[in-house]
Amino acid sequence: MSLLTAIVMPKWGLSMEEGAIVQWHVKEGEFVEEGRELVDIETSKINNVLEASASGVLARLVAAPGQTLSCGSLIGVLSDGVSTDEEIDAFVAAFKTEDSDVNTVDAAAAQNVKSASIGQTEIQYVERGEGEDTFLLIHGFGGDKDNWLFVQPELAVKFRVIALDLPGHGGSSKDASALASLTDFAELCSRFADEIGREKMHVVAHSFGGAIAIAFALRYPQRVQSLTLIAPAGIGIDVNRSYIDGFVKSQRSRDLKRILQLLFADPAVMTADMVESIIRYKRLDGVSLALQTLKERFFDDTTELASLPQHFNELDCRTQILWGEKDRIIPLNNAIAEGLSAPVKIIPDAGHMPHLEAFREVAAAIAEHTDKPLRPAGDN
Amino acid sequence: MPKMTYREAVNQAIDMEMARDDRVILIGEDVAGGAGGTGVDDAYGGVLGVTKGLVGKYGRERVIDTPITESAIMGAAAGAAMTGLRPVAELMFADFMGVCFDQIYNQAAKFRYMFGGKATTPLVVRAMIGAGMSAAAQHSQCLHPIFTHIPGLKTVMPSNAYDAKGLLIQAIRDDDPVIVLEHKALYDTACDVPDEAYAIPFGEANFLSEGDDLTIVAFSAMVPKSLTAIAGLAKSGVGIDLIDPRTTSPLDEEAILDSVSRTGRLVCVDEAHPRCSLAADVAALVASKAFSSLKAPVQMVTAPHTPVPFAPTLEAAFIPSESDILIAAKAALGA
Repeated sequence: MSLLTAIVMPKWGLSMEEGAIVQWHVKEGEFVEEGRELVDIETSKINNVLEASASGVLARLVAAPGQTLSCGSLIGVLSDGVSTDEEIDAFVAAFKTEDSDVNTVDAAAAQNVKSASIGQTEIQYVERGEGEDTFLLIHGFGGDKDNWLFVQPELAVKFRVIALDLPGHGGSSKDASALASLTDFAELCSRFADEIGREKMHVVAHSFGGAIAIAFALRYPQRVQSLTLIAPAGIGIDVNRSYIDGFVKSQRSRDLKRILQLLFADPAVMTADMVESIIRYKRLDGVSLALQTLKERFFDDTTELASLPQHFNELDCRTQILWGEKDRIIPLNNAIAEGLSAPVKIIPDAGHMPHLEAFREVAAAIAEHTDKPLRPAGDN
Repeated sequence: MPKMTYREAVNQAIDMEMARDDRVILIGEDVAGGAGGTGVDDAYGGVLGVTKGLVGKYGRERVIDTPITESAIMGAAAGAAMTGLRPVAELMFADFMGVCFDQIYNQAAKFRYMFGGKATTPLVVRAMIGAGMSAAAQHSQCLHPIFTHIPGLKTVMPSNAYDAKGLLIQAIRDDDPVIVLEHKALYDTACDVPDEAYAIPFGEANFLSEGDDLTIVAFSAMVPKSLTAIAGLAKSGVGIDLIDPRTTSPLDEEAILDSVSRTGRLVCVDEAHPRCSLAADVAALVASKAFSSLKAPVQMVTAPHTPVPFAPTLEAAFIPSESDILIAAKAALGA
């Protein structure tokens, strides 16, 4: 008798409820090694590929392309040896989808959206997990806290993780007029840290958020325990200006879709819902003005961002840089600047959004940086 | 993000714009709740409760119950718009347009043109359209083709709560006369709607699904109906561009023509009567500007050329059904 394991519809991020099978990459009866790409799955948030969590024979493909199944449903059967059809049939028949109480998850997710008032500005954020260490996640230009949808739950297993919306973005106040410099942003971060009752935090920041994080760490070194920068602005001067301009200008879905494709190594990762949610954000009162203001202050006038690199080596805290190999927004070359005193980890097959495109790798790298890896060494 | 009904979304749009701009007023029959009521407590806000609560917030100077006289409502609103206010005038049922149409199409629509740009008429006319509630022939029509026909008017037909709020906010901010047609059968439908204010530009279609095998253009309540109708086809792998133009004037011609140039097959779904319907209008657009892309005749799914019946079984036969839409889709696909 062989050991049969269920391959189930994964749950990527907290709000995923179901996924659609797009295409299997393996055939029934084929042997697969752990980590092998098994099947393309489409969800409302992102399109991604499920990898084999163990080696074995793909004894049965249960779900067919085009089928939509809820998270936890059986989609295939893995066998560690030779199995009879009867054994597999019995396994499939006996399989019960674990009741993921979707309503509680949604309610819990909704409860975790909080708000902090900092002067006239309201900052919306999501908080998950508990632990001695707190992580602050800062998104980039035109992004929001949902960019961390997959990374946040991974980290929340061990740490207290807070993802915020910068002013002008997400659910925070849309008035960005008071943020004239990176120093203003740094002060905002410090006051936010006060609001959430934390003296020190590990900071993870992406793109323009990276420049903010560097400014924050330079101005308030006692507040930043460690810094993980993902494709940050502010360590080199090259930025894809036509992306920034195009993002700010696009009003229609089809124009925006073309622009957004530049973010990913594989544009198929992008879903219609992803594009739609960004268009809907752009329609909110005040957003156009906020994006235009930030673009003029930090990308049209490059003085602020250009002044950061020289201070990089003054950073007190342990710093690491993660970068997607195929980043078309801020080129990887920026990282290979002379004399950068921080290790650079290149994420293969990822573009400007490795925290979405390769979230497990990014989450692991973030956690390792604190000497508290998510999984103990030797455990796969 | 909270779920909100179409009714709540319309209410919120008017509320937010009235809060933002003192010049926005609401005028119509029973928009407060009737002059015979005791005041704000029983202001049930219109025949289907859409404007509930507004008279309590903004008072009777800005939320005005009128006698039953559409020509006076529209005339007063058109004049008020030209002299500095931004009225949202309710035409309770679009079917009543007959009694006030001169004020709308001959006056409001033409002021800017005839006064050489010296007049602006930032007027919004909101009206209920559509069948399905046994409201009978004089309370169930979809007369959007007639409004669409008039230069100087913009005509808007939200198919869901998110679009209703964004299009109505855009309409109130627009300096030209805008006709906003709300299908009465959609008021209880709900979807995710942001609490913040936002405006959806006119002339921008929404794609409910994307694909290269078939184009379906649908309006108002026919949009969610088409979505349900094609579910089976979509599951079996047929790629469908389901287009909701959102506004009939201006019409997003580019989206429609671009789609047909890829699919070559078109179905238009419109609850209006067949002659001079939006289905006919879109079919003509495609026949004249994308003829070489067409691989099959254009299919038009409309109501019949009869008054709307009162009897439920007859009314159900009148309204284009999901099966009518599916049959047309298959015909366009050559199946």
